[in-house]
Amino acid sequence: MPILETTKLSKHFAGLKALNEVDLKVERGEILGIIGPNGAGKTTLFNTITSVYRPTAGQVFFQGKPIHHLRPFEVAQRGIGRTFQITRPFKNLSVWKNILVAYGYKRYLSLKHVFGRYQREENNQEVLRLLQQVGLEEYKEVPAKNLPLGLQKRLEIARALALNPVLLMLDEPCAGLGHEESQELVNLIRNVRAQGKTIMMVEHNMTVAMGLCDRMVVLSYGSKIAEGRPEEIKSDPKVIEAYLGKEEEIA
Amino acid sequence: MAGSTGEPMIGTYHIVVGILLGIYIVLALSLNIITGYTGQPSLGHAAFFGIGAYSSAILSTRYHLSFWVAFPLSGFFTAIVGSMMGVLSLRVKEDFLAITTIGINFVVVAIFLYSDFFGGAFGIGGIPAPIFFGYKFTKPAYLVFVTGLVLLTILISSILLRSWLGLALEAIREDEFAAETMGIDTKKFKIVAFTIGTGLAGLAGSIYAHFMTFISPGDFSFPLSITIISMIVIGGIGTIRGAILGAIILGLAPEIFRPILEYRSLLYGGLLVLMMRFQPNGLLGHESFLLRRISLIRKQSVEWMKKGSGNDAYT
Repeated sequence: MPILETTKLSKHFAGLKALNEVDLKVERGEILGIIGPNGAGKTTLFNTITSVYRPTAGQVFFQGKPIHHLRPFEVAQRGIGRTFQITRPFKNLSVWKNILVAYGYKRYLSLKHVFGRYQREENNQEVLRLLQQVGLEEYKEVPAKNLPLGLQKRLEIARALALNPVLLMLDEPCAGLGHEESQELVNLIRNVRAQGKTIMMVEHNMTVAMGLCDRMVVLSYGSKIAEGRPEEIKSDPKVIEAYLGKEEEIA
Repeated sequence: MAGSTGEPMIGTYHIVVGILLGIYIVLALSLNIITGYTGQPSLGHAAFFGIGAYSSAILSTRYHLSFWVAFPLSGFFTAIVGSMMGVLSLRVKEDFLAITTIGINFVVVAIFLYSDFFGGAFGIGGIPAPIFFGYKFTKPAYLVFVTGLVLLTILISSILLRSWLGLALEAIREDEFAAETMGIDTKKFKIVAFTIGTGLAGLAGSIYAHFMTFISPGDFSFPLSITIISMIVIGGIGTIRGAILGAIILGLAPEIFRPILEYRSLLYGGLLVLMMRFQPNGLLGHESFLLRRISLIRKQSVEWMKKGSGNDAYT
């Protein structure tokens, strides 16, 4: 059974078909890349899967159950953690508190636990472990707004991991990063996958995407135009056309 | 207020100021839960103070309920109305919410003013003093009671700040969308913040009504809402110490500046502009000048003590 499956998923914004009958499957343990030119609907796909948008038509199944009618917080509770294309840390909270917010996700559901103190040794240790994993332990006390972009991206990954997600959705994790920073982030993502997480990511940087993903789905104008292993995608004429235009037009 | 009569009223005058300061502190701390912790601007907090006051006044003058019943009931009733404003905050956000809350303040005052049920422009008088085991409340008793209410509010505020609930509220303040993605039911939690904050303001209103024995719509109008929000901005928004300091400063200001009463608004405005320019986080907010000085002095004294004990060890 795939971890995540969308069937004929569509999202229209006043006539604009941002997503048009997209079918895709994410298998357990893989890194699935979503690529496509600007405006192809990649982020819309992410937002529809995480219930930020209600789909116009179609369904989303997570671990076999429909989730498209849920609210975003319920989707997170079910085990989908995500990051954002433009980082959205809790700016004035320390790095440590940022992680803690996500780490407490189960407590927010029970009246008994929600009034409990969050500052406890066992919580601190778990947060510290996450911070070490992304290499942020020395920035523990720093307000998130003071971190450079590269570290904010890492913080967002750690925060999503604190939800102990089954599926991690990364929206352009390397956007805006330099070559070295991207490389470090790629290593981090590999590391996360090695822990048994399933990852779905949007990536613009082709070298990064090709090197990292097991499989790719290509979107163009809201529709899925290709799907397959990176080397298949690279030579698919439809993909080349979507990115570069038709050969006749160039000539 | 008393004090200017020249009679030996100093004691009573101080007690009265103390009672009013206590009420201001409760109002500032309760708004702090809504605006400081959760980041939902409310410029209509006086309305909930008023709803609590009118509830208690009506329950005790018309239905002859004891204060000890009317007090919790009016807090409860205000919290229900406040939770409705919480529901409203799900639809209108940020600046628009601020404007909507101003509107709510005016509507509530207009209802008090134009409805006979609430006594119209004359308000409600003859609100009886609470009776505690046959002992009728005097001014010192009010002071004790208000102090208790202040302590309760501080307790609730600090429990909130240290709890997962408070952490979730802070996350909502920082980024509502991201908070929702982290598994927080932002809608429910915002309503909870409004319910707690307005409920406490309702309790403050109840004791205010009984203490004053007479209330009228003007007591709960928009300028009071502005004063309450100014308190937490000046003191340090989002912190307990800041809200208390702000309430004390702006609570005492009318007493100190009584000779220049006419220019009070000018003074407040100037004060706010200065705060925004030099101490945007408030006098006791995060990274404030005063706080840095205090921590510096503390550090120096710790070092000094260490040095002292170090010398002892060597000799």
